[in-house]
Amino acid sequence: MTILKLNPPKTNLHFSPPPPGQPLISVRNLEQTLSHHTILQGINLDILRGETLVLLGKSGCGKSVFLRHLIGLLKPKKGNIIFEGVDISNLSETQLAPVRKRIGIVFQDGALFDSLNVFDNVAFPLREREAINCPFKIQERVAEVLELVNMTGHEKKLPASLSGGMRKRVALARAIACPPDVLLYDEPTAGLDPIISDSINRLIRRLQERLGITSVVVTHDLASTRFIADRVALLHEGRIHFLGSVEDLFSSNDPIVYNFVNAKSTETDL
Amino acid sequence: MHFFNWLGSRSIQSFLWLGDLLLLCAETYRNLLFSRIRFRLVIAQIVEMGWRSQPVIAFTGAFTGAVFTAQTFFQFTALNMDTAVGPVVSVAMCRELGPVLTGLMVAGRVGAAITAELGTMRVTQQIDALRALAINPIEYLVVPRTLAILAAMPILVAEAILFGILAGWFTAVKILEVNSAYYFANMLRFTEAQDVIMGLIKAIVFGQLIVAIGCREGLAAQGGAVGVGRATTEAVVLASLAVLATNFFLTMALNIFFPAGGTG
Repeated sequence: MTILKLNPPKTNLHFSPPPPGQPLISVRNLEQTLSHHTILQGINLDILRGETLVLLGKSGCGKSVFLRHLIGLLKPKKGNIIFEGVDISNLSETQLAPVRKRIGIVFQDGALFDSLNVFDNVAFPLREREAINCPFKIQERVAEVLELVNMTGHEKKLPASLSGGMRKRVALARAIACPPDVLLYDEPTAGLDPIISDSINRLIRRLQERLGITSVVVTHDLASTRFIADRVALLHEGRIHFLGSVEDLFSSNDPIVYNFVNAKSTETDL
Repeated sequence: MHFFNWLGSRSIQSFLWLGDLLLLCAETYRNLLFSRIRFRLVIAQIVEMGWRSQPVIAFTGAFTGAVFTAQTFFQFTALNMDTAVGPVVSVAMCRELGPVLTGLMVAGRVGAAITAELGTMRVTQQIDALRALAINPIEYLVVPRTLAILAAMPILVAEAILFGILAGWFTAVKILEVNSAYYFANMLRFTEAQDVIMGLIKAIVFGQLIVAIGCREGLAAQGGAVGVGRATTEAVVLASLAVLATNFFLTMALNIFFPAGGTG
């Protein structure tokens, strides 16, 4: 796969890229309250360069809210998000642009632009953000990423005519059209059948291996977790309750981890 | 006590809304001056807002001109002032009826479309996707719509005025048998360039109001399909009220610079 050469982002921020295995993103004491409900209460987490970190947790526990902070779509009520040594938690939209050029996100439902077909959705960041005008370059790059996500031949289709799995693949293709350093996935396998889920998991793994992308995956799918995770974090009541390897997760005797992994509900869950 | 609480809360909400609107306008013009303008999107929006609004604007202008002519004729004929109908209709169409009715029709048609589109994009995370791709939604969505409506509104208002005057002439001369030569002579004598300029200035102000309110309501929509529906209704109502209220103040202000019957 050829790596697209992009203009380096113009910025006054001085990023210090860490070596592999060192924290690329550090979250410190992150707190968030939405509609008078405390969602996150003091999260501390390091995301290491090159790893795939899976963030597990019950539905509605704040996993997606956490993910949105990493790309600046939400501002922390308290705490800091540090990306390559730069605190991005209170940057303006304009200041965040160079950070967002390096972090991609795949939304839960894809969030494809419904007025554009598959080709134009994938070409969107090339045309609109990188201002690439050469149709041959765009065509070549779109074909390349669509092939990577097994969506060749669907270029003319509108998002409304795609299945859930196809929409997620196209969203993934759009996110990697300009290769990012970090890719955030919001419930990449939610609502998909096991076969399609498996294909998405393989895709996530393939992207990490081929492009060396650091990935943060929010999910409650344990099969996915086994397949893609280098490390796992469990979010419980607004805090990171568990952080460790996949093996540690499945062998843990902690009642909260045990109940989650073995799908056991308690009285408080009813 | 509940009434005063309600009144206080509504007043604060109104000021916050107005503040939001002004900030959106400021951000739009900042982007318009300093960011990339996507002329392809501007042209697409001119087609959507301007070109496709033409039939409804022509229809509105024509029937307003016709009915206004008929009513004026019924009143003036008793005073033997039949031929004064022409200038009354043309001045009213240029200064008030053309811009206001075009404003109301565009608020309904274009304002609703803007809010529904942006609102749907907001609730389906497409606005977040734009932000995540480092594209400023104001630059990509609001600036092209603003430029398009600023270009389209004066043409639509001119069209409404033209169709209103033509329909007025047809009603007066062909149906009510007013003398055509006197009708035209009086109309041209009392209608001045400043009447048309006043209408076009109003067109630009109304266009700006409609697009700003439509975009603000769309970008703030939340709560799924119901939220988008509610935002769309509010955008149309607020834009229509803004057109009517602003028209009064504009009329008073512009009359200082372009006094009615100034040189006639």
